[in-house]
Parts: sequence; C-alpha cells; structure tokens
Amino acid sequence: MCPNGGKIICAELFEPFFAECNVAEVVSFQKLDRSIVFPPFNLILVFVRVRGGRISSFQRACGSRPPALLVKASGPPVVPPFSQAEHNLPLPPHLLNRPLLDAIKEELERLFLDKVLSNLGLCISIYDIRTIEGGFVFPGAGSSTYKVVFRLIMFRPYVGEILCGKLKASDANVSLGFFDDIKVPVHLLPHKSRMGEDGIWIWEHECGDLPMDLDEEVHFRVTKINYPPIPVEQDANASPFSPMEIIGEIYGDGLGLLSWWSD
Amino acid sequence: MKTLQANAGVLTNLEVLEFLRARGATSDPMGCLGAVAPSECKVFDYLVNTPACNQTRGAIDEFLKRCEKFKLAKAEKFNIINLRPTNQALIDPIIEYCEKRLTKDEARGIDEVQELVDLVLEVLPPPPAKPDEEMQDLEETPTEKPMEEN
Repeated sequence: MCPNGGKIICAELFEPFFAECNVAEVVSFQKLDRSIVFPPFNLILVFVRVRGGRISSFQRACGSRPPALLVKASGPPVVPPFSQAEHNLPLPPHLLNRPLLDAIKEELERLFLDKVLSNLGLCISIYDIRTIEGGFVFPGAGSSTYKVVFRLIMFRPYVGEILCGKLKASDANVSLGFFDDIKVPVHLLPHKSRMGEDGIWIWEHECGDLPMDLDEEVHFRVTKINYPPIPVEQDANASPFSPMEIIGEIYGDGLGLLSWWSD
Repeated sequence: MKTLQANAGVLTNLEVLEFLRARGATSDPMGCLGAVAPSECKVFDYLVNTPACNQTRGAIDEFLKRCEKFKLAKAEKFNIINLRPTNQALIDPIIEYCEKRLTKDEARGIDEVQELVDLVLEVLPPPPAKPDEEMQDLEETPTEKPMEEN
C-alpha cells in the first residue's frame, strides 16, 4: 500500500485518473508481491468497475517520486466484438483441389458459423484469416492439418446494453431475427403488468392500459447471458435446448415498446 | 480450438453491415444465396432495419468528436450510435447514473441530456421511413394524370 497506508489516501490519489477513465466505483485493492517495480515503489492493483459493467484493473506504482500509471485496458464488449482464435484444422481430402484460402475458409465456416461458443457468444461471421501454418499429414489420416489463426465476429452483448428486438411469444420472448433466445421473466416486466385474456401482457399505467402486442419493437436491457451446459438427457416434450440465453429486462424509463416513449 | 483473445476489438452495427455488404449480402433473400450463408443473411436483415443502415463513417466520427464533452464511456457511445435514441426517455437507460453525470439545471438554462439528444438527431442520419408508412404517403399524394391518347 502507499507509505501512509489506508484506503482513503489511495482513493484520493486515484481520483483524477478515475474521472478520465469513466470509473463507476472501486471494488477492491490488492498489493502485488511479485512486482516488477523496484523499491521505493510499491505496485498496487486496484479493481474498479468501469461504466459498462466489466471489471478492469489499474496498476499504479506508489512511492516518493511522481507515480506512473499503467492502465490495463479491457473495455466491455459491445455488439459485436472480435474474437481471435487459433485452431488446428484438419482439411478433408475432397477440398484439397481448391485454393487453400477458400478451402480453409469453408471449413472454418462449417465449424463455427451460426454456432455458440461458450462464453464467447454466437459466431456471426469469419472476419479474416491471419496466419496459416503447417499442412502436415499425420500418419493414418487422409487430411492435412493446418494451424490457422483467424478472427471471428461474435454476437455478445454486454450486461447493461440496450438492444432493440421484436416481441415474439406471449410469455415475453424477444427476438432479434437471427437470435431468438431472449427471455424477459415476469419480475423484470414493468411494474404492475398483468396477463390479459388473449395471452398478451398489459402494463397498467396511470394513463391507461398499455398492451404489449406481438411483433412490436421493444427496447430491453441485457441483465444476464447464460450458457447452459448441453443436457445429457432431455424429455420428449421439453423445449429445444438453447446454448446461449439472454435474460432481458424492460423495467425502467425508456425501456419497453418503442411506441410508449416516442414523441 | 484455442481462444487467443476473447475480445480483440469491437464493431459498431455499421461496420458489420458494411462487412456483410462487401461479402455480397443484399436484402433480397434469393440474391445472396451463393455469397453469404443464410444465418449471415438473417443478421444482415436485422441490421438493415436498425438505424445503422444509412449511417456513414463520417457521421460516426463527427459524433464521437462532438460528444467528448459529455465524458461518456466507450460502451455508452457505441450503444447510442447503434440505437440512435430520439428523445430523453430513450437515452436515459443507456447512460448509467444519468442524472448525476449530465447536469440539468433549469434555472441556469443547462440541460446536457437535451444537448446530447439534439447532437444525436443532428449528426446521426435518421433511419429511412418504414415501407407501410411510405405506402400511406403514396396513397395520400394525388396520382399522376394518365397519358393522353392520341
């Protein structure tokens, strides 16, 4: 910690930097023992919550000289981020007469396009291929294996992002066209909502009842993204397994049907 | 597969739209069969119905430059660009702790939230009118006079 110890002293020291970097609150402090900085400096790791939801960390050397600030940037992901991945790709023999780049792209698309990767989101597209190495043929195999480094465009909204979708089923499911597994549970609907006779949710507002008709555009806030594990057994009548589920909320000003808030 | 970097960068809706367009996606579902996969076509259809469909990079750069004074987080700026909120109520959920960060003082005539809304309306182009609205406009305008037969 700083020479005087005490959280309050450290918070004051960080304040000007916090304002610049959009810090919402300080989560915790930690002194690093394995430090690359020599005495009389101390290296402190400060965990902060940056506006947008992710926890990012500041490392700051505290000591008698003017301190240096090392900021480790980790911005929250916005729809849609890049992911850079490396994969050992076996190329099946029937693609060997095609130009290499096209064949590899086709194989990558077959493997990743429109698939959910755990904790990374839904893969929308292959952005580019950075490097291709290898081309070895392993004994007993007919396909040559390449090590490919490539970038994928993922759909992965961050917690707190506002998205616009269409209301689908009567139990408040929202759809984005390419992604349907967005649920709005009952407790995250506007305060004082009830289910009408025809299965449509109605918001009881002081200005009157506002029905949430189907196929209406709604703004909702992402509260959580779940990646449930693949079930081993499933009932015959269970709803189809969804590998990525977004829980949304329409509880708050500006959320809900667009027609409620437009001029 | 090994993930080297889970978050190598972020893209606005416009950039994804331009990428898909460059690959050959169009609104016509039959036209883009060979070039892009059906799932990419669905993403393209979704993006075309968002305000991103007629944004330009120039407009986005100008918006980013002019909204510096509001000290918004990167994620909030991206959300505003993707959503194009047209009034204060729609901007409120996007910005965290909106009342504390953007001052609103009627006595001194400062309303930063309204300034931000005005900036959005001015710099980011409005999305094109929906087809059913256009049909209503067509019905209201007088039809052209039929060609006179000689």
